[in-house]
Amino acid sequence: MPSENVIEADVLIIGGGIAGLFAAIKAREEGVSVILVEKGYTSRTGSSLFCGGFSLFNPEWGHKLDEWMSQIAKTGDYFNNPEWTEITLKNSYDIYKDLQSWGVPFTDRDGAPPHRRGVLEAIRYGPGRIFLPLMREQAEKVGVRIIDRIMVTDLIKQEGRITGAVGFHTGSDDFFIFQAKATVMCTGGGGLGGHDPIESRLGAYDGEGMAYRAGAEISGKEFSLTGVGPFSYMGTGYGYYGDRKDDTRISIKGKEIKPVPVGYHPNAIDKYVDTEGNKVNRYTAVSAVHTGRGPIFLNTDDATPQEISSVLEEIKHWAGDEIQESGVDLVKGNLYSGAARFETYLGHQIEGAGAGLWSADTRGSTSLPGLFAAGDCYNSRAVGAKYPGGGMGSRNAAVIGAIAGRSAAEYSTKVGSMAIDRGELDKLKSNVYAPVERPGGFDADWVTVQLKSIMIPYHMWMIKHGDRLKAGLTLVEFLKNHVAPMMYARPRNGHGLRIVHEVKGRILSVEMMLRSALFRTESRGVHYREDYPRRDDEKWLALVKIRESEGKMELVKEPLPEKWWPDLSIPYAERYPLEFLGEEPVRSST
Amino acid sequence: MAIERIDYDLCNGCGICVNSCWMDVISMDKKKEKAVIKYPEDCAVCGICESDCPVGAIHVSPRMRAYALTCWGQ
Repeated sequence: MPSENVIEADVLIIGGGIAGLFAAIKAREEGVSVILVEKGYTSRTGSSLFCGGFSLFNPEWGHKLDEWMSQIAKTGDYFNNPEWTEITLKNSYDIYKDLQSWGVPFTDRDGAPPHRRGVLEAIRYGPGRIFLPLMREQAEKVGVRIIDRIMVTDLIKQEGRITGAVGFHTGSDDFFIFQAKATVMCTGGGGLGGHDPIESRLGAYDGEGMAYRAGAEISGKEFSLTGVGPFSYMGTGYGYYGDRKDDTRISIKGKEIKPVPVGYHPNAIDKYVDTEGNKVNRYTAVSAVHTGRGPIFLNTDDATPQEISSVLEEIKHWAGDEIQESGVDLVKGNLYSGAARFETYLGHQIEGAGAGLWSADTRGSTSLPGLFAAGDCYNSRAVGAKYPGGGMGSRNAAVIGAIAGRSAAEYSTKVGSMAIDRGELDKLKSNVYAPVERPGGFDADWVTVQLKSIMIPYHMWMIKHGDRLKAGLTLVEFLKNHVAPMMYARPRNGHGLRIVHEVKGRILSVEMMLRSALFRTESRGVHYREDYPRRDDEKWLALVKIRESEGKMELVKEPLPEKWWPDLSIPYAERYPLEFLGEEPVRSST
Repeated sequence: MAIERIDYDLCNGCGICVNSCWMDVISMDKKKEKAVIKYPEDCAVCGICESDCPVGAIHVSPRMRAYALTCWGQ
């Protein structure tokens, strides 16, 4: 059996991205001892690596709190928590100053120092691979102890509170036991990527899985962000589809055209039109093809040759050789080649608020004492049912990370340390290493492909329907109950073990998504149900919470506080200007 | 495809790429004092190792690695 290491600290931080580093630095500044563990290498991990924008709310630039608050609420169909929204906006300047003092370079769109961004417009500070090492340096400078290549698999709960965690080293295979008075979960979101199993590597929903098993409540899963793309990197939310709304000149046809219903993304570029000449974006493209208005064309009518070539270069950069191999003529359009190749790029939860551990207050608490959380694994709802603008995910991760770190430090001074029960440890240890001991088993990459084949087609998660969600759930339950327990580690060491545990986490998370989506019998934000194509304010001004109850997943409706409701006296069509596909009859009659 | 090769004429054994990889694909060959591609099948094609390498020794193709999947392995 692998050797054991016991490590004690006041505060344990799980995850070394933006949220984890901020939590660690701020907790340490309170004078408590802090350990940060990371599955990869702190500063070279997670979606933090690829983020570039920082949403700075700056009154000196004429930014008005009311204006930002109202836009975020409207975009998110009133499902944000205005208290968290206000905190993330107001604290963004201090976080910006912190980062600057650690040497992080910020620029405006023109490359000059930040000077003029408007409402919900982000400044630049990425990519993360530039600024994350500076954050790591700062964490080490203030005395945070960082241990890389540790995959945490389970939280320890004793006497109703979280008192530590266990995991293993992916290189040495050693077992690690962490005894901590407070723990901050900063493990990020998750995703399923495109067709290839490898594309799922980034983001494994580790945190919500282990928190759920420890009894924590999870929420927001029906709003797990989606994108769509016929090619590997198209529509992933990164790069090409980022905040490039300045490019709209290329896309707009020379005549007035009617926007297609289900306009999901305020920042989506309008480069594409369906066969009837309707503008479509990465969300509405799916509806267009679904209703027989495909294929989708890249519209270049008004573009100069330079503009066309710059767009093509960018597409080639992200989509690589696949475009050429597919024989798609980019200049004529046909970029989306039809429903057969539509892929849901399953939520990376880049919202920095969208789904994950239930937020019990505005201090970074979860539903479990001793457990705090921040970043993409924390459902703070600083943004609502739809991501409102660039740079908010990383900004929210930083702001809430700092708050959760301070809260954890304060909590740790009020409770004692607790030795972890030996019997419990032996049980966990044997579960953790079981896939290494197995003589053979289901291959984790093969299982991933099965999971993708259920979830990736557009008709499962982009355009949902109760019948299809039930079918998906049946298959996912089979994977969870029958296949996942028989996966084996390939290779038979910590490296292979990590992949097995990640796949288990993804299956659990997908089950939460499907159950939440089935439960919410309405459409809202990025959650679109073909069989319930409208917001239902009578029944659904409520959140969905998931928790484990006697070994089963239990879903409960948590009413939204009335003070956060939209103004129900204004007509539906004004309350919700964005129209869902199929909503038209009810819309005009209301 | 994915991470394709590490050019040993250029690799100076600094080990930066080992930390660059969040999938733990690269490790050090202590005898040769060079970086080696240990788990090529897990390369996620993020390209960070290539951009972190101070001597340009790592080559990453933008395409995913194609390999056979086995349902049940041993």
